[in-house]
Amino acid sequence: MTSITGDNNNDKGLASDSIQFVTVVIGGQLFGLPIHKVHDVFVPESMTRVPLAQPEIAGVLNLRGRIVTAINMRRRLGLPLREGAMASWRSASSSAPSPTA
Amino acid sequence: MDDLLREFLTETNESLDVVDVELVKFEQEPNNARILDNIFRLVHTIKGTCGFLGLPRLEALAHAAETLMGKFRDGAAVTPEAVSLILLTIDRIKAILAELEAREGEEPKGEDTDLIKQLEAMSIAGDASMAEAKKKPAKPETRGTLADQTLERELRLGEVSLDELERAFRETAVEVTVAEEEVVETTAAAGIDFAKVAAELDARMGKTGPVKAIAKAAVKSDEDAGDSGEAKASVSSQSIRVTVETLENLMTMVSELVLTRNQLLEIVRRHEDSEFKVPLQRLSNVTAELQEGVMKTRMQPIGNAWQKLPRIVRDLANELKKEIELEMIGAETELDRQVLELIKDPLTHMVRNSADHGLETVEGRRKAGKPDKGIIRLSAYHEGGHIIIEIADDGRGLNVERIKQKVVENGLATEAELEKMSDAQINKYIFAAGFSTAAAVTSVSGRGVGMDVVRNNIELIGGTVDLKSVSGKGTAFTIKIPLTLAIVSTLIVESSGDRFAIPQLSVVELVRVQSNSEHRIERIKETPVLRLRSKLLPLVTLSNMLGTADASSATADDGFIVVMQVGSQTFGIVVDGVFHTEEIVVKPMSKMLRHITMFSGNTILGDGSVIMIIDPNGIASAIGTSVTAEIGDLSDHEKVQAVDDTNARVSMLLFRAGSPEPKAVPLSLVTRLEEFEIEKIERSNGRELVQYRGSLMPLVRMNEMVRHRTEGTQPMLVFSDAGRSMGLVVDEIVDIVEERLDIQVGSDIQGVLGSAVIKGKATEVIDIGYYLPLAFEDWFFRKEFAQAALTRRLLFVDDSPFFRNMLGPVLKAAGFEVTICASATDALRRVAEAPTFDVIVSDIEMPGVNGFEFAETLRRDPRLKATPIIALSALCTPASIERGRQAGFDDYVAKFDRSGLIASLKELTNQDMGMAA
Repeated sequence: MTSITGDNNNDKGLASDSIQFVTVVIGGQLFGLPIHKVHDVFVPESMTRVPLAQPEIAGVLNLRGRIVTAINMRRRLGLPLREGAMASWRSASSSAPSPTA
Repeated sequence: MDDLLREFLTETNESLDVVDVELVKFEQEPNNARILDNIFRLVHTIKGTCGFLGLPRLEALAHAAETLMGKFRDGAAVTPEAVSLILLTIDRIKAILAELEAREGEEPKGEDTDLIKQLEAMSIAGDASMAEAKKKPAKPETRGTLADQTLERELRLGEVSLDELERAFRETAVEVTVAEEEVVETTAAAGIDFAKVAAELDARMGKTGPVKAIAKAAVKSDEDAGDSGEAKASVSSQSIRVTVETLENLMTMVSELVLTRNQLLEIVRRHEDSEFKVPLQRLSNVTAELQEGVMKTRMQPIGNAWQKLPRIVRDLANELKKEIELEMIGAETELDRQVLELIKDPLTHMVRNSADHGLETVEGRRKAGKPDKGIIRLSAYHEGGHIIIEIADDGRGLNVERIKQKVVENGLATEAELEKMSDAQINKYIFAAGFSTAAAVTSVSGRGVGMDVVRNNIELIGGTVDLKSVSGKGTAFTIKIPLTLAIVSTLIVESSGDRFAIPQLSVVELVRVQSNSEHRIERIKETPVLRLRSKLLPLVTLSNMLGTADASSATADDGFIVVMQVGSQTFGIVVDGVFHTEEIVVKPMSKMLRHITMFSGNTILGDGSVIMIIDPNGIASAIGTSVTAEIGDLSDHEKVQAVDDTNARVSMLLFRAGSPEPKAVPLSLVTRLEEFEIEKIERSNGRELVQYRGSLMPLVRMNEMVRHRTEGTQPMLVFSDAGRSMGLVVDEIVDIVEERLDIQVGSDIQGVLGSAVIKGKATEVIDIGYYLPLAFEDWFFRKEFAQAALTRRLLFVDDSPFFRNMLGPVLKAAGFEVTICASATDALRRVAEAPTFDVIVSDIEMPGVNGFEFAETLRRDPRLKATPIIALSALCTPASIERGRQAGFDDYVAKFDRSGLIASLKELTNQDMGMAA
């Protein structure tokens, strides 16, 4: 995890002007995700693919009783796809309201 | 204070509803002391709480009502006026409460002296009428304080012990006439009991966490409700109030618990003799029980939705001067509270309708020889995952003539159409929008919004409504609704390696198909169909629908067919495997995925995996534009033809091209409806083409006026024949209707057969025979036609003008000189005049002389012994084909199989030629 100075979108109201980021590597390139948008980091056990969905949707998975949509970031960013296993992260950003039954 | 007030409001509203019901009961049974006690206690509690919360206006009203009821209890005569007055008071209290809620706790200003005075006057009158007994004023007081006590208690201990406490107390009060000490003692004893239960609960909580304790309490309360069924009224006022949100959260937690348990079980399964095995088994059982318990908390008896009805019916009876008895059967039938909320209004509306329109006035009933009192019977029961609610009255039944009149007035159907309908069909029009038969607009009903709203509301929750009406005997409405919206019973199926859930509500049956078994997939024009009990069922492969098909699944004819019914549409979905049924909790899909109409949601299965839930409506509408257009009509037609050929209805596709007037083409001739992206349309050699299923398909514009779109998609009708396709470009596809095709006005315009009235509008019926050669000049003149055929004479017999119009040009285009006859008798006359036909094509199902008889007659004529005769029929069963062969037909062709007919013609005429040569 790295700390990068910035002044935007700091809705947590931290004392300083700094935002914390979670850094991830996608396709060999380093990206930063605002830490307060990241809910969980985990390796999914299984994923259900969704037919007819947009190509960047990797599928849906069960995160402790919640159904979460997984996005393939390589596809989303137009990077070449990786062969083999899929390590995944998840950010609970605004697009993931808690789906209660 | 705020919380307390909110609690007070909900509780009081609930109590008042009970009072409503009880009062109506009481009016009929003035000697039932238990009912009176009950009412008294409820009003008293309201009064007490109002005083406590500082709501003087409410308190005064409740007090006056209580006093009057006290008089009843002391033996004063119960008059309908008195009951009305109390009901009026309760209405006032409700109004004040509503305002209280709106103003967040501030009691509205105003005077209630009018009511209070009346109540007091009534009390005094009661006093006068029975001045003697003033016995037991102490009893309600004690109870009142007790009720206050219960309010202070914490919820977690539940009503179990509370109820026991009160029972103990009540018993003491009744039995013991002596000292107060004893009462205190009994209470103390109950108190100990209380503590015991608490301790027990605490101990259990220590083991399994707080969730379980709550569930236990819930389960216990259920049992309790069963126990004290006979004293039902007292239970309803004592329950724990929990917000729905809490329950939902609980449900989620339980699901999570189930998943965790499943994971644990999986781990233990891998280690043979683990010491975890036994405790885990126990955990597993407890979890299952807990899950069930939590599910149960969502269920409520339907009686809750009926609570207001007795009062409504009573008021209506007074207003309409009718005598009405409301019977309620099966009030304890449980269903999901969400569904309950949604059917409350429709139910109320229907009961009002029954009271207003259904039942006659007393004089009317006497005249009809019925008892004065009309009966409205409400009943509810479970049936296969559904709840059935019936609202029946023994009134006059629906007035079919009036409905007819209204239908015509509102332009819903023409008189001619109505004539053909059965009464039951006509009665269904009361569900049409903006329909009301009440001659006068009463305050009760006849406002024009009525049964259509009811139907919409019911359909919204996946239910259906039906009615039966017998003139003079009564009307009965039947509502069928799913038990719950949240929990859906689904069938888990597999397709291309993925699992999907199909709601069982729309699943009719499952069929196993194998290439060598009785049920196998047949193909009509490359569209798979299943012949099931002499009906043709269009099939779709789930993997094709979802775009997950791979090469291996495309060829397999083995598999399962899930037969589904959505609305009036029945079709089969081919899946690779069927697992089991599972009750699932529907969870909404993420916004990113909501546009996929094939899925209605997703859920987590017992094993923790996520599964997509198929939306039957989505599948049905996707099929609607492809498969049914190809073959659904065939089975329809088969049915209709079998009944009455002269009345044959034809499915017509309505569309617009160039002009606002609709145009029509028989749906059976259309292979497919497609929409292409404008960018996909290419131009080559001055013509428009699209790449379609691996080859180039020429496009023909219906006429020059068809709009050239610059963006979006272009709708078109695709016609295919012998491996070739053409697209007829139109502006808009409007509808598919089933109508009798009766071309009334012929046409000189090329490409138009004539005009017919379809859906009440003059519609141009287009001649496909004109457009096909525009795409391929040789459409009808392909190699299979020997030039010699050009001079051949053909006799075509068909009673249906549609087929005469349709096939005539086709046969002409195929190079025959065609003589067309509308009946076999006409044809026989022609043949007798000049028996020089080279080939005869005849329909089978015809009025008068049918095709078989026609062929037999022909064969008896020595001059016609060798003339080939081809049977043309919608009914292609092995038996009818055999019958045709016996009658002397040379070939038997399905009515829609144009290419089959052409091939047969070619074969038979060539053979003939060969012989001649």
